[in-house]
Amino acid sequence: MDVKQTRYAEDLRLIEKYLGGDEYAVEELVMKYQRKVYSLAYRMTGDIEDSKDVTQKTFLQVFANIRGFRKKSSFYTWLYRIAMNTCLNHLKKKGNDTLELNESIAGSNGNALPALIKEERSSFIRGSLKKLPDRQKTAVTLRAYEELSLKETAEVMKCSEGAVKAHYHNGMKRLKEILSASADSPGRKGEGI
Amino acid sequence: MRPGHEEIKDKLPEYISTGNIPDDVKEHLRSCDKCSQEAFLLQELNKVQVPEPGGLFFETLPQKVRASVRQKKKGFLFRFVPVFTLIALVVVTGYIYHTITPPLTEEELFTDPFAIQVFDLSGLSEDDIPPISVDIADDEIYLTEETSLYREFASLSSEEMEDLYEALEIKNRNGGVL
Ligand SMILES: [Zn+2]
Repeated sequence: MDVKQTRYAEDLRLIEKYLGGDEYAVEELVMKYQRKVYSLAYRMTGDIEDSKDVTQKTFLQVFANIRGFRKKSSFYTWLYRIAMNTCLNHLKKKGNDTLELNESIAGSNGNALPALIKEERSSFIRGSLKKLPDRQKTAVTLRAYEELSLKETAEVMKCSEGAVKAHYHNGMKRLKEILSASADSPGRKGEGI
Repeated sequence: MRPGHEEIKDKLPEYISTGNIPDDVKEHLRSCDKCSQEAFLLQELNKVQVPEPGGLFFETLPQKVRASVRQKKKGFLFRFVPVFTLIALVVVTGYIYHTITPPLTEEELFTDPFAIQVFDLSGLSEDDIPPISVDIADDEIYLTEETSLYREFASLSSEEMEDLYEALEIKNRNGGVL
Protein backbone atom coordinates (compact mmCIF):
# COMPACT_ATOMS: atom_id res chain seq x y z
CA MET A 1 0.00 0.00 0.00
CA ASP A 2 1.35 3.46 -0.86
CA VAL A 3 1.17 6.55 1.35
CA LYS A 4 -2.09 7.78 -0.11
CA GLN A 5 -3.84 4.44 0.29
CA THR A 6 -2.70 4.12 3.89
CA ARG A 7 -3.95 7.62 4.60
CA TYR A 8 -7.27 6.79 2.93
CA ALA A 9 -7.76 3.63 5.01
CA GLU A 10 -6.88 5.41 8.24
CA ASP A 11 -9.28 8.28 7.50
CA LEU A 12 -12.10 5.84 6.87
CA ARG A 13 -11.36 4.07 10.14
CA LEU A 14 -11.57 7.40 12.04
CA ILE A 15 -14.81 8.37 10.32
CA GLU A 16 -16.38 5.01 11.20
CA LYS A 17 -15.15 5.49 14.75
CA TYR A 18 -16.81 8.88 14.95
CA LEU A 19 -20.07 7.64 13.42
CA GLY A 20 -19.97 4.78 15.90
CA GLY A 21 -20.21 7.33 18.70
CA ASP A 22 -16.57 7.97 19.61
CA GLU A 23 -16.30 11.74 19.64
CA TYR A 24 -12.54 11.65 20.21
CA ALA A 25 -12.18 10.58 16.59
CA VAL A 26 -13.04 14.21 15.83
CA GLU A 27 -9.90 15.35 17.60
CA GLU A 28 -7.78 12.80 15.76
CA LEU A 29 -9.06 13.89 12.36
CA VAL A 30 -8.62 17.58 13.17
CA MET A 31 -5.11 16.97 14.47
CA LYS A 32 -4.24 15.09 11.33
CA TYR A 33 -5.37 17.74 8.87
CA GLN A 34 -5.43 21.10 10.64
CA ARG A 35 -2.00 22.22 9.42
CA LYS A 36 -2.83 21.28 5.84
CA VAL A 37 -6.10 23.18 5.94
CA TYR A 38 -4.50 26.17 7.63
CA SER A 39 -1.70 26.34 5.02
CA LEU A 40 -4.20 26.04 2.20
CA ALA A 41 -6.28 28.83 3.74
CA TYR A 42 -3.19 31.00 4.12
CA ARG A 43 -2.17 30.46 0.47
CA MET A 44 -5.65 31.54 -0.55
CA THR A 45 -6.27 34.41 1.86
CA GLY A 46 -2.78 35.62 2.79
CA ASP A 47 -3.98 36.54 6.27
CA ILE A 48 -3.32 34.69 9.56
CA GLU A 49 -6.59 35.57 11.27
CA ASP A 50 -8.63 34.76 8.16
CA SER A 51 -6.83 31.44 7.84
CA LYS A 52 -7.57 30.50 11.46
CA ASP A 53 -11.18 31.41 10.91
CA VAL A 54 -11.42 29.41 7.69
CA THR A 55 -9.70 26.39 9.29
CA GLN A 56 -12.15 26.26 12.18
CA LYS A 57 -15.17 26.78 9.92
CA THR A 58 -13.93 24.07 7.56
CA PHE A 59 -13.80 21.43 10.30
CA LEU A 60 -17.20 22.41 11.66
CA GLN A 61 -18.60 22.06 8.14
CA VAL A 62 -16.88 18.70 7.74
CA PHE A 63 -18.49 17.20 10.84
CA ALA A 64 -21.85 18.81 10.17
CA ASN A 65 -21.89 17.07 6.77
CA ILE A 66 -19.92 13.91 7.43
CA ARG A 67 -22.95 11.69 6.92
CA GLY A 68 -23.07 13.03 3.37
CA PHE A 69 -19.49 11.94 2.69
CA ARG A 70 -19.55 9.23 0.04
CA LYS A 71 -16.65 6.88 0.14
CA LYS A 72 -16.26 7.16 -3.62
CA SER A 73 -13.70 9.93 -3.18
CA SER A 74 -11.00 10.08 -0.54
CA PHE A 75 -11.67 11.97 2.67
CA TYR A 76 -8.94 14.53 2.14
CA THR A 77 -10.10 15.55 -1.35
CA TRP A 78 -13.56 15.97 0.18
CA LEU A 79 -12.01 17.97 3.04
CA TYR A 80 -10.05 20.12 0.58
CA ARG A 81 -13.20 20.79 -1.34
CA ILE A 82 -14.95 22.10 1.78
CA ALA A 83 -11.84 24.10 2.73
CA MET A 84 -11.63 25.66 -0.74
CA ASN A 85 -15.30 26.61 -0.74
CA THR A 86 -14.97 28.08 2.75
CA CYS A 87 -11.95 30.12 1.58
CA LEU A 88 -13.70 31.41 -1.53
CA ASN A 89 -16.82 32.35 0.45
CA HIS A 90 -14.66 34.07 3.03
CA LEU A 91 -12.82 36.07 0.36
CA LYS A 92 -16.09 36.98 -1.32
CA LYS A 93 -17.55 38.28 1.95
CA LYS A 94 -14.41 40.20 2.76
CA GLY A 95 -14.06 41.85 -0.63
CA ASN A 96 -10.71 42.85 -2.05
CA ASP A 97 -9.46 45.25 0.59
CA THR A 98 -6.26 43.33 1.39
CA LEU A 99 -5.36 43.21 -2.27
CA GLU A 100 -4.60 46.90 -2.46
CA LEU A 101 -2.03 46.56 0.30
CA ASN A 102 -0.04 44.04 -1.69
CA GLU A 103 -0.36 46.17 -4.75
CA SER A 104 1.08 49.18 -2.99
CA ILE A 105 4.01 47.13 -1.70
CA ALA A 106 4.72 46.06 -5.26
CA GLY A 107 4.31 49.57 -6.62
CA SER A 108 6.55 51.29 -4.10
CA ASN A 109 9.50 49.11 -4.90
CA GLY A 110 10.00 50.14 -8.46
CA ASN A 111 8.11 47.03 -9.58
CA ALA A 112 11.35 45.11 -10.04
CA LEU A 113 10.69 41.63 -8.73
CA PRO A 114 14.32 40.46 -8.48
CA ALA A 115 15.17 43.52 -6.42
CA LEU A 116 12.52 42.84 -3.81
CA ILE A 117 13.73 41.45 -0.55
CA LYS A 118 12.52 37.97 0.33
CA GLU A 119 9.52 38.93 2.43
CA GLU A 120 8.22 41.51 -0.01
CA ARG A 121 8.75 39.07 -2.83
CA SER A 122 6.62 36.49 -1.04
CA SER A 123 3.97 39.05 -0.37
CA PHE A 124 4.08 40.15 -4.00
CA ILE A 125 3.68 36.62 -5.35
CA ARG A 126 0.87 35.93 -2.91
CA GLY A 127 -0.79 39.17 -3.94
CA SER A 128 -0.52 38.18 -7.61
CA LEU A 129 -2.02 34.78 -6.91
CA LYS A 130 -4.93 36.41 -5.12
CA LYS A 131 -5.71 38.43 -8.23
CA LEU A 132 -6.49 35.37 -10.31
CA PRO A 133 -10.11 34.40 -10.94
CA ASP A 134 -11.41 31.87 -8.36
CA ARG A 135 -11.13 28.73 -10.50
CA GLN A 136 -7.60 29.55 -11.68
CA LYS A 137 -6.47 30.48 -8.18
CA THR A 138 -7.89 27.22 -6.81
CA ALA A 139 -6.30 25.08 -9.52
CA VAL A 140 -2.88 26.73 -9.12
CA THR A 141 -2.97 26.55 -5.31
CA LEU A 142 -4.03 22.90 -5.21
CA ARG A 143 -1.55 21.84 -7.88
CA ALA A 144 1.41 23.94 -6.77
CA TYR A 145 1.22 23.40 -3.03
CA GLU A 146 -0.87 20.43 -2.15
CA GLU A 147 0.83 17.66 -4.09
CA LEU A 148 -2.56 16.74 -5.52
CA SER A 149 -2.56 14.90 -8.81
CA LEU A 150 -4.66 16.11 -11.72
CA LYS A 151 -7.28 13.49 -10.85
CA GLU A 152 -7.44 14.53 -7.19
CA THR A 153 -7.59 18.22 -8.09
CA ALA A 154 -10.45 17.44 -10.44
CA GLU A 155 -12.21 15.66 -7.57
CA VAL A 156 -11.77 18.66 -5.28
CA MET A 157 -12.92 21.13 -7.93
CA LYS A 158 -15.72 18.86 -9.17
CA CYS A 159 -14.70 19.24 -12.81
CA SER A 160 -12.90 17.24 -15.47
CA GLU A 161 -9.12 16.77 -15.55
CA GLY A 162 -9.11 18.70 -18.81
CA ALA A 163 -10.80 21.64 -17.09
CA VAL A 164 -8.26 21.53 -14.24
CA LYS A 165 -5.43 21.61 -16.78
CA ALA A 166 -7.00 24.61 -18.51
CA HIS A 167 -7.58 26.54 -15.26
CA TYR A 168 -4.09 25.73 -14.03
CA HIS A 169 -2.48 26.62 -17.35
CA ASN A 170 -4.36 29.94 -17.65
CA GLY A 171 -3.60 30.77 -14.03
CA MET A 172 0.12 30.09 -14.41
CA LYS A 173 0.22 32.05 -17.66
CA ARG A 174 -1.42 35.04 -16.00
CA LEU A 175 0.99 34.82 -13.05
CA LYS A 176 3.96 34.78 -15.41
CA GLU A 177 2.59 37.85 -17.17
CA ILE A 178 2.06 39.69 -13.91
CA LEU A 179 5.53 38.83 -12.62
CA SER A 180 7.40 39.52 -15.85
CA ALA A 181 5.53 42.79 -16.41
CA SER A 182 6.64 43.99 -12.99
CA ALA A 183 10.23 42.82 -13.53
CA ASP A 184 10.58 44.32 -17.02
CA SER A 185 9.27 47.78 -16.27
CA PRO A 186 11.20 49.51 -13.49
CA GLY A 187 10.14 52.88 -14.91
CA ARG A 188 6.42 52.36 -14.45
CA LYS A 189 6.48 53.31 -10.82
CA GLY A 190 3.27 53.48 -8.89
CA GLU A 191 1.24 51.97 -11.65
CA GLY A 192 0.71 48.71 -9.80
CA ILE A 193 0.76 45.41 -11.55
CA MET B 1 10.93 5.42 -22.25
CA ARG B 2 11.77 9.06 -21.61
CA PRO B 3 8.84 11.16 -20.40
CA GLY B 4 7.67 13.67 -22.97
CA HIS B 5 6.99 17.41 -22.61
CA GLU B 6 3.25 17.03 -21.93
CA GLU B 7 3.73 14.34 -19.32
CA ILE B 8 6.41 16.35 -17.51
CA LYS B 9 4.36 19.54 -17.66
CA ASP B 10 1.42 17.75 -16.01
CA LYS B 11 3.59 16.36 -13.24
CA LEU B 12 5.81 19.41 -12.64
CA PRO B 13 3.80 20.66 -9.62
CA GLU B 14 4.27 17.32 -7.89
CA TYR B 15 8.00 17.21 -8.72
CA ILE B 16 8.58 20.72 -7.43
CA SER B 17 6.46 20.59 -4.26
CA THR B 18 8.02 17.30 -3.19
CA GLY B 19 11.48 18.38 -4.34
CA ASN B 20 11.81 14.97 -5.89
CA ILE B 21 12.91 15.61 -9.50
CA PRO B 22 14.06 12.58 -11.51
CA ASP B 23 17.18 13.00 -13.67
CA ASP B 24 15.43 12.69 -17.02
CA VAL B 25 13.02 15.42 -15.93
CA LYS B 26 15.97 17.64 -14.95
CA GLU B 27 17.44 17.03 -18.38
CA HIS B 28 14.19 18.05 -20.05
CA LEU B 29 14.04 21.21 -17.95
CA ARG B 30 17.50 22.24 -19.23
CA SER B 31 16.36 22.02 -22.84
CA CYS B 32 12.68 23.14 -22.60
CA ASP B 33 12.08 26.85 -21.98
CA LYS B 34 8.39 26.44 -21.25
CA CYS B 35 8.90 23.79 -18.60
CA SER B 36 11.85 25.52 -16.98
CA GLN B 37 9.91 28.80 -16.71
CA GLU B 38 7.01 26.96 -15.16
CA ALA B 39 9.33 25.13 -12.75
CA PHE B 40 10.85 28.46 -11.74
CA LEU B 41 7.44 29.95 -11.05
CA LEU B 42 6.39 26.87 -9.07
CA GLN B 43 9.57 27.19 -7.01
CA GLU B 44 8.76 30.84 -6.36
CA LEU B 45 5.25 29.90 -5.26
CA ASN B 46 6.64 27.21 -2.97
CA LYS B 47 9.01 29.70 -1.35
CA VAL B 48 6.04 31.61 0.04
CA GLN B 49 6.18 30.79 3.73
CA VAL B 50 3.12 30.12 5.81
CA PRO B 51 3.47 31.87 9.19
CA GLU B 52 2.53 30.01 12.39
CA PRO B 53 -0.95 30.95 13.65
CA GLY B 54 0.30 31.36 17.23
CA GLY B 55 -1.85 31.57 20.36
CA LEU B 56 -1.92 27.78 20.81
CA PHE B 57 -4.22 27.56 17.80
CA PHE B 58 -3.26 24.03 16.75
CA GLU B 59 -3.13 22.87 20.36
CA THR B 60 -6.70 23.95 21.13
CA LEU B 61 -8.54 23.55 17.82
CA PRO B 62 -9.15 19.76 18.04
CA GLN B 63 -10.87 20.12 21.45
CA LYS B 64 -12.82 23.17 20.29
CA VAL B 65 -14.15 21.35 17.26
CA ARG B 66 -15.03 18.27 19.35
CA ALA B 67 -16.90 20.41 21.90
CA SER B 68 -18.77 22.20 19.16
CA VAL B 69 -19.66 18.95 17.38
CA ARG B 70 -21.01 17.53 20.66
CA GLN B 71 -23.08 20.69 21.21
CA LYS B 72 -24.52 20.33 17.71
CA LYS B 73 -25.42 16.67 18.36
CA LYS B 74 -27.23 17.66 21.56
CA GLY B 75 -28.85 20.46 19.65
CA PHE B 76 -30.20 17.93 17.19
CA LEU B 77 -31.80 15.82 19.96
CA PHE B 78 -33.26 18.79 21.74
CA ARG B 79 -34.21 20.76 18.67
CA PHE B 80 -37.93 20.34 19.40
CA VAL B 81 -37.71 21.00 23.13
CA PRO B 82 -38.58 24.74 22.79
CA VAL B 83 -41.70 23.89 20.79
CA PHE B 84 -42.88 21.35 23.38
CA THR B 85 -42.10 23.78 26.19
CA LEU B 86 -44.13 26.49 24.49
CA ILE B 87 -47.15 24.24 23.99
CA ALA B 88 -46.97 23.02 27.61
CA LEU B 89 -46.66 26.61 28.80
CA VAL B 90 -49.76 27.71 26.88
CA VAL B 91 -51.81 24.78 28.24
CA VAL B 92 -50.69 25.31 31.84
CA THR B 93 -51.22 29.07 31.65
CA GLY B 94 -54.72 28.54 30.26
CA TYR B 95 -55.55 26.06 33.00
CA ILE B 96 -54.23 28.30 35.78
CA TYR B 97 -56.04 31.31 34.33
CA HIS B 98 -59.26 29.31 34.18
CA THR B 99 -59.02 28.10 37.81
CA ILE B 100 -57.82 31.26 39.56
CA THR B 101 -59.93 33.85 37.72
CA PRO B 102 -62.87 35.01 39.96
CA PRO B 103 -66.42 34.66 38.52
CA LEU B 104 -67.55 37.65 36.53
CA THR B 105 -69.75 40.27 38.19
CA GLU B 106 -73.20 40.94 36.74
CA GLU B 107 -71.94 44.09 35.06
CA GLU B 108 -69.02 42.25 33.46
CA LEU B 109 -71.40 39.60 32.24
CA PHE B 110 -73.22 42.24 30.22
CA THR B 111 -70.17 44.09 28.91
CA ASP B 112 -67.90 41.12 28.21
CA PRO B 113 -68.79 39.72 24.79
CA PHE B 114 -67.33 36.30 25.73
CA ALA B 115 -69.41 36.11 28.91
CA ILE B 116 -72.54 35.16 26.97
CA GLN B 117 -71.59 31.51 27.28
CA VAL B 118 -71.69 31.60 31.07
CA PHE B 119 -74.83 33.74 31.24
CA ASP B 120 -77.21 31.69 33.38
CA LEU B 121 -80.80 31.91 32.21
CA SER B 122 -82.21 29.09 34.34
CA GLY B 123 -83.60 31.35 37.07
CA LEU B 124 -85.65 33.48 34.69
CA SER B 125 -89.40 33.13 34.40
CA GLU B 126 -91.52 34.20 31.42
CA ASP B 127 -92.46 37.39 33.25
CA ASP B 128 -88.84 38.48 33.52
CA ILE B 129 -88.57 38.74 29.74
CA PRO B 130 -90.08 41.99 28.51
CA PRO B 131 -92.46 41.59 25.52
CA ILE B 132 -91.02 42.78 22.23
CA SER B 133 -93.60 45.11 20.74
CA VAL B 134 -93.27 46.63 17.33
CA ASP B 135 -95.63 49.46 16.52
CA ILE B 136 -96.20 49.60 12.82
CA ALA B 137 -99.14 51.52 11.39
CA ASP B 138 -101.26 49.57 8.86
CA ASP B 139 -100.28 51.73 5.92
CA GLU B 140 -96.53 51.28 6.63
CA ILE B 141 -96.60 47.53 6.18
CA TYR B 142 -96.45 47.44 2.44
CA LEU B 143 -93.28 47.37 0.45
CA THR B 144 -90.84 48.77 2.92
CA GLU B 145 -87.42 47.16 3.10
CA GLU B 146 -88.01 45.97 6.64
CA THR B 147 -91.25 44.15 6.00
CA SER B 148 -91.22 40.60 4.79
CA LEU B 149 -93.16 39.08 1.92
CA TYR B 150 -95.18 37.06 4.41
CA ARG B 151 -96.44 40.16 6.14
CA GLU B 152 -97.53 41.46 2.79
CA PHE B 153 -99.57 38.29 2.30
CA ALA B 154 -100.94 38.42 5.82
CA SER B 155 -102.37 41.86 5.19
CA LEU B 156 -104.50 40.66 2.26
CA SER B 157 -108.23 40.20 2.78
CA SER B 158 -109.79 36.82 1.95
CA GLU B 159 -111.18 38.14 -1.40
CA GLU B 160 -107.82 39.49 -2.35
CA MET B 161 -106.22 36.11 -1.50
CA GLU B 162 -108.70 34.28 -3.71
CA ASP B 163 -107.94 36.67 -6.58
CA LEU B 164 -104.24 35.97 -6.09
CA TYR B 165 -104.72 32.18 -6.17
CA GLU B 166 -106.76 32.48 -9.28
CA ALA B 167 -104.12 34.60 -10.98
CA LEU B 168 -101.39 32.16 -10.00
CA GLU B 169 -103.36 29.21 -11.40
CA ILE B 170 -103.80 30.99 -14.72
CA LYS B 171 -100.10 31.70 -14.70
CA ASN B 172 -99.34 28.02 -14.10
CA ARG B 173 -101.57 26.91 -16.96
CA ASN B 174 -100.04 29.42 -19.33
CA GLY B 175 -96.53 28.30 -18.52
CA GLY B 176 -95.59 31.25 -16.37
CA VAL B 177 -97.43 34.05 -18.22
CA LEU B 178 -100.32 35.86 -16.59
ZN1 LIG C 1 8.76 20.88 -21.73
